[in-house]
Amino acid sequence: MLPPRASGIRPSLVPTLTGLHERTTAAFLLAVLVLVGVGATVFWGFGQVGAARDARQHSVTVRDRLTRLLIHLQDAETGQRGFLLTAHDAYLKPFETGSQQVRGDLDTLVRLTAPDSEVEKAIRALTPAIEAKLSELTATVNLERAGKRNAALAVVMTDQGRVLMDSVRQLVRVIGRAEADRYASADLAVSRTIAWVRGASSVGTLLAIGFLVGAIVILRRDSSSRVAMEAQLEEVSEEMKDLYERAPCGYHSLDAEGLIVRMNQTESRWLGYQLDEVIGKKTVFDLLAPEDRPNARARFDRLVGGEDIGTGEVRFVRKDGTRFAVLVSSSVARDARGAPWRIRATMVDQTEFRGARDMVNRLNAALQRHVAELEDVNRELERFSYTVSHDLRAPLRAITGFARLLKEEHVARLDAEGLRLLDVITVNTERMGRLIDDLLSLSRLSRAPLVRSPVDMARLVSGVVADRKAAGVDSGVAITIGNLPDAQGDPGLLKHVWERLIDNAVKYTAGVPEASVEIGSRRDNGSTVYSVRDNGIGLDMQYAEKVFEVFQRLHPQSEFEGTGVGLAVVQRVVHRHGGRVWVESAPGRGATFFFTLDAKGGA
Amino acid sequence: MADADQVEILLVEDSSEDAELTLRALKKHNLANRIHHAKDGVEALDFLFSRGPHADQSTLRMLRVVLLDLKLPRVDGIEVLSQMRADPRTKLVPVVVLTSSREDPDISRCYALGVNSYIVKPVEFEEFIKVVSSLGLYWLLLNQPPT
Repeated sequence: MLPPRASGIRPSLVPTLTGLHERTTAAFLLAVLVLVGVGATVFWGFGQVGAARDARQHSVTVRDRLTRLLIHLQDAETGQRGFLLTAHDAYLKPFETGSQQVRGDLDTLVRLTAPDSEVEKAIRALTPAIEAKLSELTATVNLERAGKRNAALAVVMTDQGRVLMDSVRQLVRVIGRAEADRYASADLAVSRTIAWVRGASSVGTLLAIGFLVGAIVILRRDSSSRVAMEAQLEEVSEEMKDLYERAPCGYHSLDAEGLIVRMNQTESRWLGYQLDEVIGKKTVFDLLAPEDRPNARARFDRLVGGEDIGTGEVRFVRKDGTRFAVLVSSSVARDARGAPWRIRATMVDQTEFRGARDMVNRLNAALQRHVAELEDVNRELERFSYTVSHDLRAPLRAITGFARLLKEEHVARLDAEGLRLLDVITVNTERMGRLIDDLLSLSRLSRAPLVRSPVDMARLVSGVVADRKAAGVDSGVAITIGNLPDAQGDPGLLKHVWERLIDNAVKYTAGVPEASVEIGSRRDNGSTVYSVRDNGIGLDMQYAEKVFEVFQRLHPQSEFEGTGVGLAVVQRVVHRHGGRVWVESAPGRGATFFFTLDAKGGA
Repeated sequence: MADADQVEILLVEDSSEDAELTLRALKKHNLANRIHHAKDGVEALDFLFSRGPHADQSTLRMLRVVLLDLKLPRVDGIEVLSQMRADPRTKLVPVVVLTSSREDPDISRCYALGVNSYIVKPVEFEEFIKVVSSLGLYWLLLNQPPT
């Protein structure tokens, strides 16, 4: 099978090495090309030199032939002159031989020269001149033979022979000069070629040496950077191996059948196996708790099938038979054709987590028990307050009602003291009725669901103040309302807060000259602090906390009517809104009650 | 006690003291003889639906209003109220709940069940008059010729 694409650091090294290879190869190729060029130049140079040598040889041959032609022609003329002078046949021999040889030389020359060349044209011009000379010689010889010596001498005397001979010599000189030029130019070509080849081969060789040196330099650099990279690779792989082996997670890799092919030390330590006991010998399923195997096998098949199975929990069995739970997440590495090649899994030991989870569960259970107990207590309290409201009231009603009947129907039989006693009964039962009502109110306001909405505080407070005035509660007290920003809260519950605070303020200003109550607010630490200030009797700050407790009263009933519940209601409602309530006061100098509807203000 | 078919007010109240005080308050104004007093929810339902001792009596003929205490033995006031509202014969009979306290959490439940008003006990005649006036029953109840 093909391995999957290499991962990690190797891909980043590949382009660098490829670059080095390319540059080295290019340098080598250039060196070879240059050397081939040098070889070709030398080869071409040899060709050139050979051709020049041939041309020179040819030129020598032609000139040699020309020289011989002239000699042979002179031989023929000498023979003719001798024969004419002596009429000895002995002179005819050189004449005839010379004539023949001249013709042979001429033929050879024609053969030697390339057709249509300058030389050929000159030779073609030479042929009639020679023929003319030979026919002059032959004509004179034939006249001599015929015994017409005078006629022959007359011909000689015409100087025609010398003229012909001169024209032949002239033509031969021309040809000879042309051949000499060719010889010289071939010579020049040879020396030029040799110079060119010498130069080109020197430059080429130097160039090739340069390229080879370059290639060697690159190779050396390549190999040194390769060494550096290998060192780096080794370091990285060492680090990876260390991380792999010592990670706080278990790692293993499986083949497509689930056989373990690699496992880190952490996991093998968890399992209590030596690596060689599992690698290639056990499948991962062999290590699982038997009851977890079918499910794990199914998950494995889904994973291999390409599904995302997420994270699962499985239990492993150690070599010693004990168990431990892990959270496992797996991925599949596939080959180029998409077939599963390796399954890699990461495991997190769940033992500690489970311990913590068990702890949380235990705490939760305890908490739930407490909540249940509290709910029981709460229900009990609710039942209690209901009972208070109904059953405590029934006898109270009877006392009030029958006392009243007594007063109405039997007034004639009661003296003043009797009526006073009846009034005491009535007042006290009514007070107890109010007390019960206040207690119920406190309990109800504590339980009523708190529904937050925007509250127009200014409107709410002016409504409350108007109600108080209508009920005659504020007689003689100047109530002023300052700036009251809107709030978030339960308007029904907040109405109770204002009612109790205003009633409280009004109550404790009774008997104070120019009694006044100021309602207002200020910003503090980003939240609104509402306040109700009175100029009443005030209170000692050492009791400042007590005023908010149920049934805690700072003044005797005879001085100020009250049940001791009002400020407890205020505190309960404010606390339910997440706010704070407090009082600032001094005896005889009035009191100011503050409250906020969040935890920030007034700290 | 009035004849069942003459009853204009049904008082459902288990406390004899409360009942006595209520009856006395109303008696002063010549209404007591038109009142039937049921001591618990069962008696109230028997009367309203002509069952048991009230079989064959047309108890609803003159009935104007039911004064209903909520805390009752056997069948409580809420149950009586919901049965009344579920039956077409009693569906429209005005019901005024008698409560021990204005803070009674049951009051809102009663309004949800279609109660017409409530009176805090003991039932003062003046308070009763205020409620029946607001229900438009005043003349029906008070302009009867005395018997």
